[in-house]
Amino acid sequence: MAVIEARSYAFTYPGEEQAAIRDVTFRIGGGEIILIAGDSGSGKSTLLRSLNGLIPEIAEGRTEGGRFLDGKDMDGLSICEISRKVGSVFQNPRSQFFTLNSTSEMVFSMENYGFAREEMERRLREIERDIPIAPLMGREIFSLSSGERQLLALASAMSLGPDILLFDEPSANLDYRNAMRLRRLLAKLRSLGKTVLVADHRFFYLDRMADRVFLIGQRTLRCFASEAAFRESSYNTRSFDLFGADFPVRPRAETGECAASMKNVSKWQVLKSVSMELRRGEAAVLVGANGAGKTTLARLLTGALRPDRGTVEVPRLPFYVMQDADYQLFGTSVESELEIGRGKLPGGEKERVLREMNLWQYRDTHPFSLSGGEKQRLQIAAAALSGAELIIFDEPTSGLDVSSMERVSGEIVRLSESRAVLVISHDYEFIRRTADRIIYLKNGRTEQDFCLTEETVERLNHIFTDMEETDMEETDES
Amino acid sequence: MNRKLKMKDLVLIALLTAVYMLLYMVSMVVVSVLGPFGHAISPGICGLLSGAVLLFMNRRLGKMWEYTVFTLLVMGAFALMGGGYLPWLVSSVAMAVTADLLASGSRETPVWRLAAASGLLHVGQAWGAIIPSVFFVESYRSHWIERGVSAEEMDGYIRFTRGAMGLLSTAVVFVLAALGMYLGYLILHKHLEKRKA
Amino acid sequence: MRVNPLVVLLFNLLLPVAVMFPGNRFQHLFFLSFASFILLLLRRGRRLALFLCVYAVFLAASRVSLWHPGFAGGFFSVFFYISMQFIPCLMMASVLIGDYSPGELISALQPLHLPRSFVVSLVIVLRYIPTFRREFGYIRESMRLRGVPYSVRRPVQSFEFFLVPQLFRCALLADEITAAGLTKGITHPGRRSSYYDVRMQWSDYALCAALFLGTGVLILWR
Repeated sequence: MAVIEARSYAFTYPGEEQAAIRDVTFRIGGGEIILIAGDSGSGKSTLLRSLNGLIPEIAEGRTEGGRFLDGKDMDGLSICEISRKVGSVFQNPRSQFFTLNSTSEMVFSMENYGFAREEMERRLREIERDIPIAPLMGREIFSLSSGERQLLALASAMSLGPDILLFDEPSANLDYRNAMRLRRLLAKLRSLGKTVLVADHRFFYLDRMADRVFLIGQRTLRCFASEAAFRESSYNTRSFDLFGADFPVRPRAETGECAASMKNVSKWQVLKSVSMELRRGEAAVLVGANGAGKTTLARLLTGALRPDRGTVEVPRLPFYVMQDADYQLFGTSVESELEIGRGKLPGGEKERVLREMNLWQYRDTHPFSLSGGEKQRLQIAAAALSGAELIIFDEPTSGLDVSSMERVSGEIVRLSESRAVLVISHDYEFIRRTADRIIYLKNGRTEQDFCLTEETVERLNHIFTDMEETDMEETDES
Repeated sequence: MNRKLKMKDLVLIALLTAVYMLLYMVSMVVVSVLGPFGHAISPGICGLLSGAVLLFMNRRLGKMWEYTVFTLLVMGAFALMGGGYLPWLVSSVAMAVTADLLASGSRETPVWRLAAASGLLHVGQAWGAIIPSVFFVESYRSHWIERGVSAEEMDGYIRFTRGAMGLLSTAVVFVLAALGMYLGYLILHKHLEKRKA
Repeated sequence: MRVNPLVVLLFNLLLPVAVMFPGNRFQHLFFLSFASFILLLLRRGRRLALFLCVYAVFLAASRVSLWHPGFAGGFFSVFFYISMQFIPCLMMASVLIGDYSPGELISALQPLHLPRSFVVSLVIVLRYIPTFRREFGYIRESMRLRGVPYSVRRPVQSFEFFLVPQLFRCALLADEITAAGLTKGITHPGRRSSYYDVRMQWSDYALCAALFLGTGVLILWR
């Protein structure tokens, strides 16, 4: 008997004429990993929400066809009943946690269902056997790194002992190291007999792991019986094999004057005597594991932080694009957002940039009505028009699909021709397309700082594997 | 559109209440320079700052009893933090209900009605604050009389304070809250006009 | 040492009532000491010290303003006096917001038989007050970097940029939190258990008794 099944399922959002997804039919058994691929807005989230009961619980739309959980019709199940069998790990770190403390988060679901204390203890011990949650217990969620939060979200989702686990873009906020850790966790879950569905744009961490692939496009689902079949299809995917893929060769950058510099800067215990110069004409990418100090460094450049020792010289205020766009959108429309802090801009300029970012059709919509990826692109458009000498981007491609990532890359490359650009990123494909220079931050120092050329690509690949190995060493010690 | 308040709506009201509480704390700081008169009109200052919050609630939800639920949450939060007077609860909720009857049930309520609703809502809160203030003044008065200050001297200090806590502060609170709604409209309306295509 | 949230709630409900019956000098001291004792039981010494400093400032201010002739002085001294009465409440509020997790509060408030949806909403209010406070800091930083800093010269615009994005974020958050809550079974009917012990212990009952007794005695004996 299939664990989950769909038969000609369709869902239409209220007020829409066309269905968001239709003719969805599949059967999934236990112990499988299914990758759900598709561009942004294609319907991946709609599908996931249909499977964990959020549709139709909060969506108020119209369903057609059937969905079955262990043979039972999901239309007749309440979301409480569904949630016992289906665990969900969302992508948004700020709102998927109900509490502020990791232990209380892990027990929250169990408390809701009225489990006895002994039962909760037993389940926590059971989870601990499979996932390393011990270092997470009893901590403020705010203080956890994104990899740790991911782990916490997974542990919380497993606390009720579900057979099915849904992941919505789990790698969006994870660096390479943590994404590979996720890979190992997913393998573990499969070996426990769980059914795992992962909806994501980036799949390098699922290389040779997915049993089947569901591609959502043009509002319908296409099932590929194997990962290999999917790879051979015509879908323009992000790479499975990061280091082996082909990337365009970047012409060598011509650097101009210095836009910012740091000399022997130390801050807290995180940065220890960092020196660098950022020059116009160059796109430098700052890489390093989570917690290495990349954001701290960026904040020193913006003046939000003062160095404990050393000097930071940034003659003009840089433009800083934060990871979470929601703190940075002030305009009443996409077009007026570009003028915040700038006064009126020539219409042609605005149009060019918005068209580049594929946002021109949204010029009159409110920034907060845009999707996550669209908001990021809007930020980049604002950066392009800002006139700042130094532009800093913090993970500009997290959660973006291929075409959006390519647009962003193109725009950043264009920007770097006249300004100094510093990008914090862990997105390998993006880095290969965009970077002129790589700065590797490790143990509070710039361990490596080199121009990215055909010859030095190997060094970049080693950095990524170095980050993964460091992690494996750590987990071996624990 | 579904008329009843669903869980998502309650969560939105709760989040807006959290923002409102922060604005209330800001208004407490503002009020501290004004002394006890300020304390009596502190709901008015909060109403001045929070017009946008209530406007947003109406434009996003516009469902009946949204302001009553909001007020119950505000009262609940205050009860947990030490402001739980029964008179305050009663007057606030009663006025919140009238505010709802006046303004909720539609997402397009005209601003003047929302201004009046906000005025009523905050007056309800103000009455709750006035009543205990009268008691404090008593307490303060007897406190110093015990210490030998003469009754006439104390009454001199207190007279204006007591008189002020009455019709005047009610009017001031209403006006401030109504103005606050217009201020909210000023900063928010352009944001609300644009919708996704 | 755990103190049940209901004890803290009781304190914050009794104090305002007691203050309506003035005349006993010891009443205020009683509440202040009780609140301080609770903070000590919960090992929040530093926070207690902070509150006591604030208290001392208000006390000094109220004395000083009384010496000031005219009615500005009288005005202010009444104000400071009233505020001092409520510092114990703020101490207890800090405990409710900072020291109990949302799950504990929801479970602890169950005996009151309030509708679950109300309790959950109230807990969300408390949970997000500190979060939003922190986020206002991020927004301020963004404003500085976009070239539209807080400025007294453009108060309306500063206010708009500060507040409006947060309102829209609330709308987004509401969807996400609801989704998270639903998939964690928050609408499950029936009794909610707790990992932490939220039953009233004898120590909690003793504290409540002390509170009732103290309040009652101090009201009657004036």
